[in-house]
Amino acid sequence: MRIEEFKNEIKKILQDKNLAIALSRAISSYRINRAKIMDKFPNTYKLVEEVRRIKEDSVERIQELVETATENMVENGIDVHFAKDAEEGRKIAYKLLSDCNCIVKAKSMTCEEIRLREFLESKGIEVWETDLGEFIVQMLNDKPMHIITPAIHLPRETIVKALNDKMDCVKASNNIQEIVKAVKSYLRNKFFEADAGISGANVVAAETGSMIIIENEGNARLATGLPEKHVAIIGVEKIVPTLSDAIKVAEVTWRFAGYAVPSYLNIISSPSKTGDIEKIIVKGAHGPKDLHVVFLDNGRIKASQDEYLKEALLCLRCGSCMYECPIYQKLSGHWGGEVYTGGIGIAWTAITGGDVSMAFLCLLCSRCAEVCPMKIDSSKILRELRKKILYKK
Amino acid sequence: MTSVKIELQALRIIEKNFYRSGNPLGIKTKSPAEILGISRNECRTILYTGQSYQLMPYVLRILSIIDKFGKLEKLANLFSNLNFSKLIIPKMENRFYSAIRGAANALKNAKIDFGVLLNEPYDGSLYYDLGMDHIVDENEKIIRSEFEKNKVERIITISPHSCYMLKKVYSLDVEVIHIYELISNIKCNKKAVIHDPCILARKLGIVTQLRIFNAVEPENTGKNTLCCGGPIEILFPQLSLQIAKSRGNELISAGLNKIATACPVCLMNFLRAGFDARDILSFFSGDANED
Repeated sequence: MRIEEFKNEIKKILQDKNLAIALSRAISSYRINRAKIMDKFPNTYKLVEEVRRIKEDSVERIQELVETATENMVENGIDVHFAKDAEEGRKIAYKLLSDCNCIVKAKSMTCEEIRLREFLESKGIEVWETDLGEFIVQMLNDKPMHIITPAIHLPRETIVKALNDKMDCVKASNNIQEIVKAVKSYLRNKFFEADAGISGANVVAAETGSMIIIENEGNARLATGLPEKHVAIIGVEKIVPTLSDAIKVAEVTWRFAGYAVPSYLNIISSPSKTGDIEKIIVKGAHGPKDLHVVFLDNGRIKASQDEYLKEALLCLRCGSCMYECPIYQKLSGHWGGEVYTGGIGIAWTAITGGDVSMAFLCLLCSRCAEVCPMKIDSSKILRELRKKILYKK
Repeated sequence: MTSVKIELQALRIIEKNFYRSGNPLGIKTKSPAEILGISRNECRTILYTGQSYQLMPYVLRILSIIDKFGKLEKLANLFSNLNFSKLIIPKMENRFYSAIRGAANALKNAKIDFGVLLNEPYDGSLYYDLGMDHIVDENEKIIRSEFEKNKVERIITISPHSCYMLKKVYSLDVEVIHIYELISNIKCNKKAVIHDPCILARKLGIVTQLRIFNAVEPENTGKNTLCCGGPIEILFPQLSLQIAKSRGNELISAGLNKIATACPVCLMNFLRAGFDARDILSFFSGDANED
């Protein structure tokens, strides 16, 4: 049991002053931003009710939506694959990417879930995380500690020191703007050198076969638009019926993640193409010629039949529950599953497979449900997981 | 890897203690009848403490020892092998008992007749939280039998945990009402920063009813309250203490050092973290030292 080892770690984590500083800065910024945004867009609270209904309906029809999305994506010229578990996901991805020397990757928890970067690296392929937080985590050989803010546990001072050690061409200062500039300069050529880009997706519209990727940095836009090939690894719970549903889901996601509106909203429905010469459609104009989607099950379809776990499938991955969880506020992503952090992360670990003994840390205070746009009460799920552990179900 | 067994052992001890004494600590607690000086019960309406306020002074003492010596392991052995109540002297028990006395006075002021069970069973909340449902089922039988024996028709709870168990977990054929739903018209002018207990605010929807005193509102209040850290005090005492310190500091940053709450677990954890905390019900106890 991971919790048994973890218990000894708690003292150390609680004494980590850098962690406390980083968390307090991030949580305070998040709260200020979110309060401002919700004041400006009070209609978001109404929209969440509709989005909850959309997501509930989608989880109920999960297999049907996979089929519809697949059908429409294929019609759009996308190669669609289905992976029943993490191993199959890695195998499919490797088959698609084995001819690549260099890959640029946008932030994706689904890729984390199947350990895709590490797997491709083990096959000798160079893979670069291009989201700043993920890049920092990669440079430090660390774990993403938050689904939206992977480097939430690191104050700027630690980041600068680590980046200066790793990137000898860059001498960043403690000024955050300087850090961003340094990483931008470091990664710039990687985008042009890359043979492929990897991404996840925040939501998929079955009816049009479109995936939506929300981002602020512009890295996902480059990673999915510059290389000749784009491979998207997407959990099947991300599929909703229509494009209009998908936009609503996306809007609630970015609002609760703490953004009034994201810098970029990428909607990708087919490989890059042009019909400018004689109206003959040719693939791969400026963007990727090859576009692959790998739909990943990895326990999701089974969970859609489970009274408690199906609630976790409604999660939009906005991360608000983590900022507001008293345990997370002390331990950051040390609390949760191996990949997915926080209380909801333990529920997701139960879905995707892994040690869920950290369920015993939950306070059952339901603060997560209060701040979650989908009103997911992780404490209810975690109490059930405690029962499963105790009764070895 | 030695701590592997500790947690499971702690759970096993908690289980064993139920069969020994009916509660997780394996001790005999004072009944509300003893605390209130009531010798018999002839009322169909019962003031039910669920033993929660009585167990917490022992938990507070145990945690003080853990805080001092840092090891749960040895204490866990004591739980299982010795008659614990004879060794552990409850800490600040009057601060908890004054809540029970205050509850009785507040009900009298509200002209509500009530009795108490002379043999009051534990509410089962810790077993429920830990997912030990076989004990929850056993405990429900004990509670049902005690209620039937005493022809109880209406229960007034004072602990949020008891209220949640009786209202939402057990299927009992009695009316369950939380005390603040009955005494919200009574006011007192005592001033303190209010800490809403999570269960009361979020799971039972009791928020405005608590504001029967001069309550100073902190950050994160009402349904948006932050947990005191108490529910994990036995399994993760250090983490629980740090959460109590953070929340306690947030409370007193509202401008007053005096904290008032409405839950024995919150009260225990704030006291453990060194804050000047009391239960709101204590304001009605008539005990100047405890309000």
